[in-house]
Amino acid sequence: MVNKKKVDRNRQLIIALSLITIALVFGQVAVFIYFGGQGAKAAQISQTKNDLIRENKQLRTEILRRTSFSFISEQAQKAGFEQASSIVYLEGQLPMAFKNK
Amino acid sequence: MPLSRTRLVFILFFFSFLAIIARLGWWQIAQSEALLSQAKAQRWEEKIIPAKRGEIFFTDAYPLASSKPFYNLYAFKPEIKISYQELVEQLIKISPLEKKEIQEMLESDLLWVPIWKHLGEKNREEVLSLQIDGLELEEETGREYPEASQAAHLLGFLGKNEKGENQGYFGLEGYYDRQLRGSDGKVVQEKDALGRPIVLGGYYKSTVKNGINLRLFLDRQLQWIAEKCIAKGTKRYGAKKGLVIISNPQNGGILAMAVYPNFDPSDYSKTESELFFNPAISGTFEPGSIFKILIMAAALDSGAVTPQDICPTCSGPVKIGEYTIKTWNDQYYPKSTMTEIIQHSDNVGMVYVGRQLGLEKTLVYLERFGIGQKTGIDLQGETTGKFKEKKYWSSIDLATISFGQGIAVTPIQMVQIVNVIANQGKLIPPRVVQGIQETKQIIKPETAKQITEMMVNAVEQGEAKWTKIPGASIAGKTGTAQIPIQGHYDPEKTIASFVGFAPALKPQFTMLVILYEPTTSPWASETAAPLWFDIAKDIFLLKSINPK
Repeated sequence: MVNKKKVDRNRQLIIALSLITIALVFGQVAVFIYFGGQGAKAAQISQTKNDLIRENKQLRTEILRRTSFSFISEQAQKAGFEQASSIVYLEGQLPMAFKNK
Repeated sequence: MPLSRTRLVFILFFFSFLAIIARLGWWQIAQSEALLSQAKAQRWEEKIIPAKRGEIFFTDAYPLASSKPFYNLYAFKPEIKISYQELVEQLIKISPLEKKEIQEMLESDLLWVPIWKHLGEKNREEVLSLQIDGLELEEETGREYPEASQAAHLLGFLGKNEKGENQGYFGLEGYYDRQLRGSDGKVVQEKDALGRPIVLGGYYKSTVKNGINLRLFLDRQLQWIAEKCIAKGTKRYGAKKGLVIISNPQNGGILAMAVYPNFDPSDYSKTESELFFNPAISGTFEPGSIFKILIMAAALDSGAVTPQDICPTCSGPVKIGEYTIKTWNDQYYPKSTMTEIIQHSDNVGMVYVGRQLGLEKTLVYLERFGIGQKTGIDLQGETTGKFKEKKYWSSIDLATISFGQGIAVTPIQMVQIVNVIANQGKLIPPRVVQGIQETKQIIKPETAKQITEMMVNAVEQGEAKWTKIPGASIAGKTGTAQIPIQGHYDPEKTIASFVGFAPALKPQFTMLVILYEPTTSPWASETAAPLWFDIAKDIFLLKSINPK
């Protein structure tokens, strides 16, 4: 005596499992295809990152050059600046009015 | 017949399988390692991430030495698709190399030919723009010095060791090499047939550990002034070399250290190796009269003399055994006080002070001030002069040491001594990289005050008074030392020095100026002293210090 209901249920289960397996296989293939294409993008991002780092270093070098004393001193001389030769130190003296008291 | 045909087929299959098994065995057993590594190389990409060498900063966070990538250009002969002649023509357009030079390199037996070293960013772009197959650029980290050769002796340089790796030599680069170096990292990543990374593939990373950055006490403005003035001063006074050390007496920090002639650390290979030695820490000299302040401080501190004591033996030369000790100018000041002995830089007077102090106490104080020991400054190459054991000391040794001859010190030791006086009797070892130093009271604050007053008087009334800054409160002392050569002193050559601090009552800096073998005048009062005051003037101005 074969339980027909049970057979039908098992058959449905097998079909469902088969469909899930097929879906998973295709899904996996799709995911791998998608991420496989991302490798090029990752390489591109890495290249851009390296270029930006390099550019940043170049800019930093240029900033340092332009703020170095040797450069500033050269520019100051060109602009006509001279070192102060006589300096007066302001001291905390009392005003004359107080001294007279 | 059918049976033998079946057998034949069977035998054929048997040998075919045997051949296949043998071949598989060959690949999987005999060739396994070679094929495995070939497969790995095709599938995995290994990248070394070089550690960034730590940078060295002035106290204002401006870099004294920073890291910068450089490139080396190589030609990989098997991949060059144009003729060597054509390649040479292209390369001479962008490089400073000679045509013949490149040709010789390409004609060598090497497959991988180094062509051009140490390319900058601009050169790299020019090479890339040529788009020549077989030209490869290798990146390496080097040093960049935004302030050019400033503080070169203090800094040292970055060179290569026997393995071809970066290594610091001399100065800070040498002393802190291990900390500055860091350790390289590595990335291993799975890649596809086109060499692109597989996003969901294997990925392993060992973290790169960059070198530590150093923040110095070194002041960019003071270093600039010191470099400029010592170069000018050494030339002006016709000296063989000159040096300036400026220090903060409160924490022992080195604010500036300049030596002339110096060298370019970015081009060290073109420098004579003698120039790499930093005379501030690696060169000893007989200090002469600047050492009198140590002996006088010791005598005052131990109670052997007071500033008002009268010298009873200062009326003429003093005879010790077979030797006669005279003053520097053969002038004598009978009944000089201790203050006047320092003012006149009186050798005869100092012999009296030395005798009052005695050998026992002299040696105790020399040790307290760190004479005969390294200061421990954080620079590679420090040395020290040594003094004799007590049993070998004679009365003439005690006499000569009292005016700074017959003893060898390094300039940095002299700065340490003067810092004690400027810092109310507390000894703080000198230091270049910022950090906290332990202090030790080695003479009484009252003694430091007394010796300061003597030094102020020496500036106001001494032989260098013609060059002093009017109205400025400066404590200082000149020193003209003879140079020992083969058992006697050179009759003509001297080392002229001036050491002092300002403002005297609230010192902001201590400074030592030394001129080796000046030719315009042998005397410190006419060479080192005016240079000291010139630098001090600039410091007062730039640092807004009221010298009064």
